[in-house]
This record gives sequence, C-alpha cells and structure tokens, in this order.
Amino acid sequence: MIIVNLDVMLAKRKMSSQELAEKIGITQANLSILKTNKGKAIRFSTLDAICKTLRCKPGDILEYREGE
Amino acid sequence: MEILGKKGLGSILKILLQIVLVFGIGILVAFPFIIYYANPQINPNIVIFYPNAICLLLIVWQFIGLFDTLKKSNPFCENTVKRLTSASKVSGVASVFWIFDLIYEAFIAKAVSPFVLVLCFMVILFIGVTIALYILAELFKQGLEYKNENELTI
Repeated sequence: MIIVNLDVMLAKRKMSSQELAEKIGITQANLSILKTNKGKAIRFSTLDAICKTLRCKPGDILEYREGE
Repeated sequence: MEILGKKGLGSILKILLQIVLVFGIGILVAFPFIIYYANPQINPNIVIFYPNAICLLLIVWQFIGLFDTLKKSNPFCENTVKRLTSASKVSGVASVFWIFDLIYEAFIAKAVSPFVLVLCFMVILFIGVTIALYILAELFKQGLEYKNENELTI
C-alpha cells in the first residue's frame, strides 16, 4: 500500500499543517485525510503544490509498503 | 419538476406510497372478515395471494424509505443500496409464490386458460422486477463507490 509521509517532510521543513494547507489551497480536514492515509487518491495538481511548497520530490512524501 | 428535495417529485411519491401502504394493510387485515361476511365462491389460490400481498407491501415499505433519501437530496448512500437489494429479494420471493400458484392452477386445478395466462404474466413481471431492482441496486452500489472515491481524492 501507499503511505503518505507528509509529517516527516513537514518536520524537516519546520512547517505546520495549517500553513501547508493554506499554501497549497486545500482545507485542513483534507490535509488531515491525506496525512492519516485515509485518502483514496491524490490529484497531480495537489502533489505538485505540495512538492513545490515543501521543495521535495513525490518519492519523499509517498512510500510503497508491501503486504499491508 | 425537481426530483430531489422536500418539494420534489420524490416527496409526492413518498406520500402516495404511504397512502397505498396504509390502504394495503387495511385491506389485508379486513380481507378475512369481508370473505366471512360476503361468503363468495373462493378460489383456493387465495392462499398464494395473501403472502404475495405482504411481499408487495414490503416492497412499498422499502420504496418509502428510498424516497425518504430522495427527500434528503442524498440518493447515493448505503441506505438506497440496502433498500433496493431488500426490495429485489422480496420481489424474488413473490416470483416464487407466483410460480407455485401457476403450477397449481395449470396442472392441479386445471384452471381456464385466461387465468393461467394472467398468472404467466405475473410470473414474468415479478421476475423482471426482481432483475431490474437487483441491477439498480448494483448500479447504486457502484455509484456509491465512485462517490466515496471522489470524496476521498485530495
């Protein structure tokens, strides 16, 4: 399954969830869904905005774990 | 005309179905008394008509619940799928009753052909309704899955 490691990246960039949500233009509730791995899919536009804001690559925030 | 919402077609149909349900239950309860006092010549297949009437009323009951979700403007929900599946199952049971009745009338009672034709029509009708409701339930199930997926796409 795909794991979203947004918390790690947020800690590295010393950025709060609220700040990220505001910068990428999504609600805190939606960001929370993403962070807690409850989301079913992520739009390229959202991924693009996250990578741009956190100055990272998709692989830094998305991880594949086998057998879960 | 609007279908969803409080002033939509769904609400009007719900009221109509509630009236049908109340009258249906009334007739079902009063029927043995009517027969007792009127004392008409009764066909033995009345035994099948009674459970069939209960099945029909159960389907009406499911549809009342279904139109309730239309009233709340939220047709793609778990409740719709459950109610359509239940209605489909009840309709399937009613089809079996009609088949039993058809077999009885055609082969045991050797009833006149117009009556047997009517029973054939009822069997086909109820099997059709069962399949249609089942397909509708599956469609709503797929729709619900798409809706959930769309809602959880960030």
